[in-house]
Amino acid sequence: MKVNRRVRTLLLLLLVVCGTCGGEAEPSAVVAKFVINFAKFTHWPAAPDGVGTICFTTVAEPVGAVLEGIENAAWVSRRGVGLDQLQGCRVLYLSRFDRYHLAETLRALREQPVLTISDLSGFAKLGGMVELYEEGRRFRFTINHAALEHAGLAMDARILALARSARGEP
Amino acid sequence: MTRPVPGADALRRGGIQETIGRSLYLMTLGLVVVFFIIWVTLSSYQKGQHLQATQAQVATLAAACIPALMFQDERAADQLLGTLAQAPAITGAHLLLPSGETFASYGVLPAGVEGYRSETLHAGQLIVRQAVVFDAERIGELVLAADLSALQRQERRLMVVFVLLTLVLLGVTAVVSRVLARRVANPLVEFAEAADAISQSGDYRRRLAPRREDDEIALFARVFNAMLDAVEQRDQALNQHKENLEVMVVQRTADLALAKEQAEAANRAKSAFIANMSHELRTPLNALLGYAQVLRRDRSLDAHQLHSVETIQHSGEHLLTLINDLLDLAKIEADRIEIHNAPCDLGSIFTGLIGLFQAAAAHKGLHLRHHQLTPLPGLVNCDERRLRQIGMNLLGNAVKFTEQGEIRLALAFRDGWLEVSVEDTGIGIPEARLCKLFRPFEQAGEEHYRSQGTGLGLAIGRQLAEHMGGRLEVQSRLGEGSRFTLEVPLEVLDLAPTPSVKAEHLPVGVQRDGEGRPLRVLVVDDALANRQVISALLAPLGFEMLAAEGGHQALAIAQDTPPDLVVMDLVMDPLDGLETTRRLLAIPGLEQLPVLACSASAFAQDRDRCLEAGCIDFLPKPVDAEQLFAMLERYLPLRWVYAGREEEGQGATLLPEAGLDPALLEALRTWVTAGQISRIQRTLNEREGQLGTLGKRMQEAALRFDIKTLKALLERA
Repeated sequence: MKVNRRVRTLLLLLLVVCGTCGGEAEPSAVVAKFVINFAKFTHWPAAPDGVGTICFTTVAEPVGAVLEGIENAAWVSRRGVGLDQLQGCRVLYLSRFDRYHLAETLRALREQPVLTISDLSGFAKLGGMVELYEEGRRFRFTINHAALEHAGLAMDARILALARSARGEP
Repeated sequence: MTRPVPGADALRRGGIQETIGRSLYLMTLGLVVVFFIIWVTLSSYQKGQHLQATQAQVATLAAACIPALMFQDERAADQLLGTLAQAPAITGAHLLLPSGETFASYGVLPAGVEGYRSETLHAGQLIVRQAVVFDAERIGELVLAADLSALQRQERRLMVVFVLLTLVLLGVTAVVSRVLARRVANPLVEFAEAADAISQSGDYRRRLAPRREDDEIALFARVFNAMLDAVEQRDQALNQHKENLEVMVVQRTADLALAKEQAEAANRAKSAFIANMSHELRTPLNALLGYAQVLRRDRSLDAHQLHSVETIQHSGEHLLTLINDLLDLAKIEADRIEIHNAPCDLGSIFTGLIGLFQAAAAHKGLHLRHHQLTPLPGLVNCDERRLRQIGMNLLGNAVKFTEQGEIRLALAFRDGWLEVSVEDTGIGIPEARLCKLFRPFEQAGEEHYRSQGTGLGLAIGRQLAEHMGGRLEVQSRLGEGSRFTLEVPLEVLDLAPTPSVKAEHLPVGVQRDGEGRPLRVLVVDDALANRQVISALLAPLGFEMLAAEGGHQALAIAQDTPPDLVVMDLVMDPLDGLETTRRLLAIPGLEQLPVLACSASAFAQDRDRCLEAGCIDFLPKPVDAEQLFAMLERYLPLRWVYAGREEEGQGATLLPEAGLDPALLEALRTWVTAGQISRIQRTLNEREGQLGTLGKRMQEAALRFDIKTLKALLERA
């Protein structure tokens, strides 16, 4: 495990270096960064102390792999979280692995204070909170205000200013 | 009054004006400094404000940029930076990534701005750098450039205002100081000049001009004018006083002049009285003495009568001495003593004195010794008569108050001072009386001595010595004798020392220079005795004597047989001596005739009157043989014939003379002891043809009634 972690860190560093060199940053790394940034700018109503958990349903999720490599005192990442285990998550990232039972997952999380993020198109319309999309070579995002409001979450206004607001199902 | 007021010039040169100006300029300078401080404070405050505002702006902007950076939203970043367009002072801004890559930009930043630290000034622009930090992570940096030109413009405007303010202040200061000077200093200068003019001219009627303004200076003018009023009033009062005083002074001066005139008149009267008295006293005394001498020659007198006549003569001589002393003292007290310095021979003075007292001392059995301690100068400038008078007094006293022993006369001349000391072995003077010795009318001796002399001699002697610039001192011990010391400064005319003092000797004959008849002397005197005295002195020497009783007779004789010299008494009737002299000298051929005025008057003014009348010299009465001989020698062409050298030395015996046989000498000695001088005269006159030198001297001494000399001569024969 230890060796594994070092290799990953090395890989990540390589990625960062590549990014700064002018080359294309690994999309999953960019997404991972976005995810943790959203987490930092979001306010949970219960304001639970301690470490927040960012959950991924699939063990093979690359974004989750990147996030696990980033050491953060406030956040931990967990991959392979089942649908019945979602109550312990504060942030849930859904990827193309989750596209077939997306609606079911969102339904299960209705009324739950879990920030849902995905790069699947139409995610916000389906009731997802933050939908990432690519524009040129940059990631942009859309925020479903209704869904956030419904879940009792509040996002930093500055982030909202950056988003392309979308009306979708809560 | 004519002295200018000190400080008026200083005032004119602008003391107050300068002071006012200086204070105002100092004030202005202070204000300028305050302005400067305000300006500096203001501008630095403004800069600080500006910087703070810029920093706040940058911080806000940086915070706003955080999401754009985090979500790499360049458009959002650009939009954010674009809002800077609202702040015209911001010329450019860059948002940098941690890698240094520019993420977003606005406007233009100066080249190479990346190298500058925050808050640096570069090309008139303020560079501010602000790190963008989120969650303790530096996610980027905002670099911003603010244009300061506006600020600097503002600063410049402030400076212009400041300079203008300063200039205005300086102008105001100049104007104010000028105005103040005009209002304060100028009136003061005017007043000072007016006051100066008043004090210079002394015209206290002038006033300072009144002023329109009613200020302190006007008050000063009023007070000054009031003071001038007071001064003027006092001036007038003073003038009045002065006039009164002048009147008083004139009055007093007149009074004083009158008083002075009266005093002078009184003084003149006193002088005339003294002169007249002395003359009046001496003239009858001369007659008395003369007739006493004549009487003594009378052969018919018996011894008792002769003694009476001799007493008359001695008393008369004493009286003459008294009168002379009193006259001297009166002169001294009136401060009219006169010291007549003339060239004289010290040696001859003291030779004469010794000669005079030798016989008297010998008569009392005393030895008169003289010691010459230093050589005496040949000729000195001194009053011979007065010096002789003092010497006579000292020697006379010594002889008078010494009964046995000796009298020593010591002479010395040191450093221009003549020192004469007379020492005796007499009765001495008690110490208590020493101090009184030189006071008039004090005598040292017992009653027994007092009758002899006036007691004025020492008082006169000391006064005379002091008038000559010297002193007369005494040292004495009762019973052992006295020592009188006379010290007188004398001017030396001829240093050739005189031969030591010798006993005096008178001429025994006269020889006319060149060939011719014997010299003819006319004696004019209304008193027979006086005529006879002079004839008796001169006839034996070989003069042809003529005599006249009065002026008219004298003129007749002179025209008939012209004399070679005239001895003229001054006080005669009806023609006095002065008038007779004038007429005599008016006779053709007699213009050069020497006339000796002869009078008992001792005052210089009489002497001057004689010289004015044409007299050639003045012969005081009673006539002194030596003085008469000296004058004859001076005014007539003659040479004295003296007795031979055999007279020197006490023990020398004179050659026996044919006319003087021992029998005659014995007879002469008897007569001398008896006081029968007239008899001696007659006897010697009868044998005149046979007489030698000694005989002639005896005859001469007898004619002079000089009994002492006669005795001495007879003892040596």
